[in-house]
Amino acid sequence: MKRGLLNKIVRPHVSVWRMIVANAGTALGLAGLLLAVQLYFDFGVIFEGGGATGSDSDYLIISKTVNFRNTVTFTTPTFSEDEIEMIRSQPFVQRLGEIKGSTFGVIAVPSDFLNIYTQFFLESVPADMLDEVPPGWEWAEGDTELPIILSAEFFNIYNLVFAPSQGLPPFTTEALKLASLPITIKSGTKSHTIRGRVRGLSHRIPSVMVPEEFLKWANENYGTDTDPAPCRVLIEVADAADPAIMTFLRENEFETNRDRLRRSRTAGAARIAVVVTGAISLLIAGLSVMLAAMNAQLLISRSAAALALLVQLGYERGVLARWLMVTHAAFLGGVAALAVAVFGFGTDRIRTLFVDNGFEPPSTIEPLAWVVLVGFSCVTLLLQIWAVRGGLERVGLENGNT
Amino acid sequence: MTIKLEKVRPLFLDESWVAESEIWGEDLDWQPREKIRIAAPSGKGKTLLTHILYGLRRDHDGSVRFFGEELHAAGERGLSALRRGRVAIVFQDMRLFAHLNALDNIDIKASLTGALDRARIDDQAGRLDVAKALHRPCSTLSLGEQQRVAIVRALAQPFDWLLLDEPFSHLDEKMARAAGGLIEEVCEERSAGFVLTSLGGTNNLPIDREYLL
Repeated sequence: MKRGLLNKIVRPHVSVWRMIVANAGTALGLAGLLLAVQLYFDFGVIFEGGGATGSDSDYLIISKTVNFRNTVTFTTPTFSEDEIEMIRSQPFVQRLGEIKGSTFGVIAVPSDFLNIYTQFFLESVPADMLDEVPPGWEWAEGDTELPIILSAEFFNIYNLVFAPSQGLPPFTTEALKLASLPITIKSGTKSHTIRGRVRGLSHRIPSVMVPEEFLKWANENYGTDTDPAPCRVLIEVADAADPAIMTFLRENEFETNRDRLRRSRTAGAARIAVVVTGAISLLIAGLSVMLAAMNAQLLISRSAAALALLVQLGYERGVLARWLMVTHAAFLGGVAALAVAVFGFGTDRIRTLFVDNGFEPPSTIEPLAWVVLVGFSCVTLLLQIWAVRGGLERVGLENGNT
Repeated sequence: MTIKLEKVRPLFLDESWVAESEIWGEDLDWQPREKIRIAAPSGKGKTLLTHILYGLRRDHDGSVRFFGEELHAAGERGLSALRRGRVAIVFQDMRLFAHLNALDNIDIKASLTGALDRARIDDQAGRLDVAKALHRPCSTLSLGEQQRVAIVRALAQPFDWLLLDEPFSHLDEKMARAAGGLIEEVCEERSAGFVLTSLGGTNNLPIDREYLL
């Protein structure tokens, strides 16, 4: 079979403009779809510093609003058990962990030599609510070492603000984990000193965290309240951009880290825009693919007499179908290449815009974009095969002829 | 390869025609290399018979067997294989691709079996006086030139049987003789037979058996 000759036979029946419109539409629609997929994940990284799910934006710390009565009575607003159950029962709450605080004095002496001395506090949450549970995250009475998880934000403030202002050295995370930090807890005349060691940093909880067992023991033995009610609770939500969360907090006069919530809502809004763009792109690509499939059938229909004559001369319908399919597959390859080129160029331009505006977009391509590309190409190819086979089945079958 | 017709009879043919015919409804057996002529006036079904023999039409009773096997038994693939290597045809209406030149028309058939022999094509085209027409689009050729191109196309492939549907209808006496001579020569060379339909008697080809349709 000579492809050149077969091309010559069909060429007069090809509508060049219709073909250009269908293929360009498919390429641009596909590129738009790929860009939408990529941007969906880019927004996740830009706004939430992580993937699309399981990011720190999906964790919110809720506290009660401090009012005038708290000020005059020296009391901190805490959550009652009923209130905690009420929060836990909200549909947007997936998990809840109580953050319990120390009711005793804590003094840390990071360095006798440097003469640093600081008073601070300790808190605890259930281990499964931590960013990650570091090895050795446990404590039992009699242990001389206390594992600590420090807020990454606190650590940054020390390194970038406190240390330079006091003439102290900044530390790397590794150096911090090697350092031993004597901690003294005291109540009245009673005190206990233990060697603290930072095991990890938390982006999720801005606090100094210790194992629940230690806090319970220390509150019981040195605290002013042996079992304090939690002032803050940590909740995991499916979607921090859910408007129901904001409504719930407002109605109950609860507070949360609004910046994180706002970022999630912005990311949510951006994602909605991206999803809409993706849907429109999919529609354009889908319609273009349908147009291309109809073109294939129209081409066969217009070339019916020529194709029927080829069959009469001894060409097999299957061979003709393969030839037409290879031609369409070659066009599809070109369409996919064009779409990838537009997608690559568009991604590069958009990421440059992000960087110019102070964002930190990821530098990799989301694997799902390639999955979409391959999936879309396969579906399109199958549709073309269906169109070609269906069209050729009808060629030369009129009036009892074969 | 024998051709066997077993009571072949078009579904829509007038009963009186069938009764008068030496072909329709008869059992016939044509041996390899036989030269068959089927004569009939216009409109009596010569093209219909040729198309039935070539497997283009199935709207008939009875069966056509090539070498003992029913024509459509092997399906479309079998029929295509038959058309590629064992049965050639000159259609009455030529059936050329109008926008392709004559050489491409011959090539598209010959390339199916890799049988294109350019020197041979040039020789045959020269003998039928269409050598200069080989590079012209068929739409610009006269009916006589088209008919000669169709003959060269049919002869360019290997075959055991050649079906000729009024192949000289657009040729003058001299050119018809030249075409007849060429067909006889190629059939002899390929040890092939032919089935020729015509309006009446023709002296352009030697005939072994003759029928009235």
